Amino acid sequence: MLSRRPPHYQAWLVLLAGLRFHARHPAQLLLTIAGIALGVAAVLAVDLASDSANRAFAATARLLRGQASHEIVRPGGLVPEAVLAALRREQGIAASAGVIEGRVRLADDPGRAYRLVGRDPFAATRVGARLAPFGDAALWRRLLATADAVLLPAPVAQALALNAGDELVLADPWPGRRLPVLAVIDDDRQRLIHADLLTARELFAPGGGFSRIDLRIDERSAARLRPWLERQGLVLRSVPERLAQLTGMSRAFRVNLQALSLLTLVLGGFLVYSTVAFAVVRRREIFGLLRGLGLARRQLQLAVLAETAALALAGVALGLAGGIVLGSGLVRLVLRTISDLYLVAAVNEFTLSVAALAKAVMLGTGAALAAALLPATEAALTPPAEAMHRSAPLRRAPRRYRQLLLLALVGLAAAAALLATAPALPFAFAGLFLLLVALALAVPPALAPMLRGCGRLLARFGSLTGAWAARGAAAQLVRTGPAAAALMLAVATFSGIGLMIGSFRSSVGIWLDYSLDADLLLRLPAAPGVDEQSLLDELRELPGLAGWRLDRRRPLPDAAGLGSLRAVRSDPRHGRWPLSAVPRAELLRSLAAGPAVIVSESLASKRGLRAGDRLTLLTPSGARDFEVLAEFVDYSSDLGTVAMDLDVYRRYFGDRALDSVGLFARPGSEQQLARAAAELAARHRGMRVISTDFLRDISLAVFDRTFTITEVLRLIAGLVAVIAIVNALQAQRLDSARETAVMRALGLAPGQLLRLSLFQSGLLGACSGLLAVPVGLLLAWLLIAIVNRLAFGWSMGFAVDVGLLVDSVLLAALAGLLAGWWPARQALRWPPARGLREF
Amino acid sequence: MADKLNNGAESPDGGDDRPDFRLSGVSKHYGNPERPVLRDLNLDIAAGERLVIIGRSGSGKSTLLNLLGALDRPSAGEIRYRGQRLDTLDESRLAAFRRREIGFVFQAFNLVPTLTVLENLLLPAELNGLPRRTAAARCQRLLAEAGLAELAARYPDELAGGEQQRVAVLRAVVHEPSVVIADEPTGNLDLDNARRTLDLLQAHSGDRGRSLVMATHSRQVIGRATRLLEIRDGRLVPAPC
Ligand SMILES: Nc1ncnc2c1ncn2[C@@H]1O[C@H](COP(=O)(O)OP(=O)(O)OP(=O)(O)O)[C@@H](O)[C@H]1O
Ligand SMILES: [Mg+2]
Repeated sequence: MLSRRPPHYQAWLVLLAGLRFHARHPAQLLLTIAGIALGVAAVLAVDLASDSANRAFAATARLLRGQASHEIVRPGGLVPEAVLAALRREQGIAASAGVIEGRVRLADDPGRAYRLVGRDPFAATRVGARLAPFGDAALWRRLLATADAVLLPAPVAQALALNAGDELVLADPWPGRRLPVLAVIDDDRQRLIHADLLTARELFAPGGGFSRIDLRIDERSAARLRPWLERQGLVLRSVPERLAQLTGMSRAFRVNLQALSLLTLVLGGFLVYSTVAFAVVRRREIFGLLRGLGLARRQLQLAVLAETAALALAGVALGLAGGIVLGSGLVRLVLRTISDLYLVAAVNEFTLSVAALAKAVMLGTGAALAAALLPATEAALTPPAEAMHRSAPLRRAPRRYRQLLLLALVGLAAAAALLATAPALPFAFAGLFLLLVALALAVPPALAPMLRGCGRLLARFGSLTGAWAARGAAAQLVRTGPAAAALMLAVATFSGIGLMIGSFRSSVGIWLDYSLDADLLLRLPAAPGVDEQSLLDELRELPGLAGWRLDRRRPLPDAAGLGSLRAVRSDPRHGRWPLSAVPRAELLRSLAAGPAVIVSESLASKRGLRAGDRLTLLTPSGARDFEVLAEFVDYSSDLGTVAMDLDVYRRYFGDRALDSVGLFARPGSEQQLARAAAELAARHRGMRVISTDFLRDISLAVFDRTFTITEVLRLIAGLVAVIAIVNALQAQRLDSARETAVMRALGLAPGQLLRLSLFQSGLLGACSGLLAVPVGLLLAWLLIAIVNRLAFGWSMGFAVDVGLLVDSVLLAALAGLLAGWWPARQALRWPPARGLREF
Repeated sequence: MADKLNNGAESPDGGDDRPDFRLSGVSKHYGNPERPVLRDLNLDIAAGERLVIIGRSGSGKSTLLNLLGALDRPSAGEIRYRGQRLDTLDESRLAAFRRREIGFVFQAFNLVPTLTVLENLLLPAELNGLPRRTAAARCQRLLAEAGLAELAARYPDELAGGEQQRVAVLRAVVHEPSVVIADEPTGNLDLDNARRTLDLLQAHSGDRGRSLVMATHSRQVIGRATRLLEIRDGRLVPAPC
């Protein structure tokens, strides 16, 4: 009797047959491994980059947490020194320390602001500032003993190429003042300078007072302290609260990275799936035969899985190596970007995270095994006789397409529901993910009629060989479908991200036109102060000057203290700022009229503010409500900006300082004004003239750098597109070997065959590229309208760059042509007799 | 019966007395030159003859037919077609030779699966640059004569094996080639379908100055031969019927 349990060697035979198959198609094997590797590498690299950003933000938060539980500040000014003494004596709070900090610019690096923090080291230890890691007590004692001495965190010293014994030269405040560097200390923050209280006082508070007083108290003492402080016009802020906001700010950046990592995941998954599925599907007939010989289903599946696991292992190993290399590059990019945008701690450049590695490995092996299991199961389930019949899948295709379409529709509906109803990001991401997968599933059913339509047209208009090529591409979609889907996704990602960046860039450009509307910017030193009246008198003398705008910027005086406040005296006749839906003249008039503000979109969306609402700001005389007049566009920070009239500001905050003056030239007098302004600046210490064109260029450069990682992903998408199409065409060539041999027997000339192959591959590429156009538009729109809006609170105009879309279709077609060349040459290398033996 | 076993190189049309094919010293090996599949063959095939090649499986029948049809090149020796050397032509010329002079019928999978029956028949015409309209009329007529007219719009996988094979025969002759080469044309067919296919082949070749070369294991096919040769140990020997 026949044994019901086939011996295990049968599985080994299948495996052996598989290995031989791969040995006979080495290019195919390499392509499969490369496909897996690229998918894994892309996902790993983006995750590693995202991880390093997270670590940078977390490290910053940790540093802040080490300091104090609360801080006392005085809106619009310094905290009187007497408060500290009173705190200790009257309130019995010993854990308190005065801090003076401010922004400085250095002669060596005038483009960037550094934070100089002055502390009393011994008081600071009482509130828990972790001095130990910054150096030992002896060092701090020397710091106190040396006039103007500073300590530099290692990254700062490195960036400025300074060592202990060198000197920092200030550009602002007190231009030319020299600060000796006492030591480089083990602190990993950037753009930070440590000093003692005395040094900082001379720089920022010559009249006495603290920027803040750090406290270490519990909530009960805080509650007791609050009324006592409020009576003196002081505010007690909780540090953890601020921390939460800092995390909120970094969230925006992380969300962008998450979106990218999601895109790569989908893309990588499809790439792996398509390459592996093809390698297995190719052998349907062999499987049918083996089944016919009595191989059990289980055995077949087992063997195929074992073989795929081996392939996946090789691909994943390569992918991990590639991902680490690519990732370390991306990490550097990301860290540079976030230290441009936010003040964060430097983190160890690169650490491998187990989670990221595990995710990449799981993606690689999971997608590969799924890709192998589906066709293997199908082969196992179909009656052996039918599986052996070559054209069986051709006939069955329409039913499968209907199933795919149905699945895609269900996915689309779910995605639409998620995207439409859920305001939270995780849902938006889930929706985006579903949407992409659903659209990818719809690719084969959508391509088939397109290609068949081409075939019908060609047959009608006389080219049967052309029809043969087009219909062949349609018929082989059963096998090349996943690769075509990967191609479509890759091209859509390529164009979608391009459109998103392009839209954003053009929005930023428009915004820059509005916010950098003056011809020149006169930056005033914080100290020594400039007498406003004499400055205005001097300005009136400037030849070629049409008007000016006075500008004061400071941290937003509210409970959280994040975001910024801008107070402006703007002449409605000059300039364009602000960019808002409300007419400018009307807006400026209403701002000047009373306690009113305009808020940036990001602030409005974060705090749910609308025109007519009230915004509470902390003034020296207590909390005040300001009416929100309108929203305005401001991309300068995702923390949000509030703007008000300068005179209103002075009335409520009593702060008469100025940061900059925008100068508007009379038409044609720009050069003259620039020269005169330069002379004016030269007469004042620390005053600088900056051309707004220069600022504009810098802003766009920072913008571009922010999106470098996104651009890198675009390139990866391009690479995926190429591998996907090469894979699809390789599939076609192997699949149609017999048919091609018959055509050659009928007398199809080599040149004709080459042209037809190129036509076929170009057609597949172009059709996939065409499908990618609407998907790319949709993707860009979603990224702009949902993801960026939810994450940053920024709205952008949607600029459809038709050229980019046309380019990406051409790119797909070209990739098809290029990828088709090699398989076609390959097919011509053998005499037709050999193809006739292929089944 | 006797004339069927006629080994002579007579030409029924009497026209050209040059043979269609002349093979001299032809050898063919795959990989190992020590073990050629065909060794030092000499063969003349006259116009209008119905030559049948027999031999054990793996003896090299298909190999020989592929050489005749210029689907492959000999490892050594000369192949001439009507005086013109084939083995030295480049691939484009070989393609042109196949396109004009040869019609092929294989054992199976002859038809292009993505083209309809009619389109399959039109292919040789298109490749030869014939106008579509005249070609279409001719194909329709051939189909009607063969009793296959209603299949014209169907795809090959919607046809029975015998029907597929008869369409393949029609496609092999539609462009009026000088030689039809059929490699086990009835290998997959039952007796009745084999007979009808052979009838069709015979109707379109062998007796109209168009030679027919077939390889087979089947007695039925052997019965249609005007000359019978066997490949044994890589050499051609006249076979007794
Ligand atoms: N492309 C090839 N590569 C290697 N060996 C080949 C190739 N084509 C044919 N052979 C070998 O040449 C020999 C003759 O093959 P051929 O197909 O001509 O035999 P055949 O007489 O037609 O057999 P059958 O009756 O089974 O069709 C066989 O041993 C075969 O294995
Ligand atoms: Mg054979």
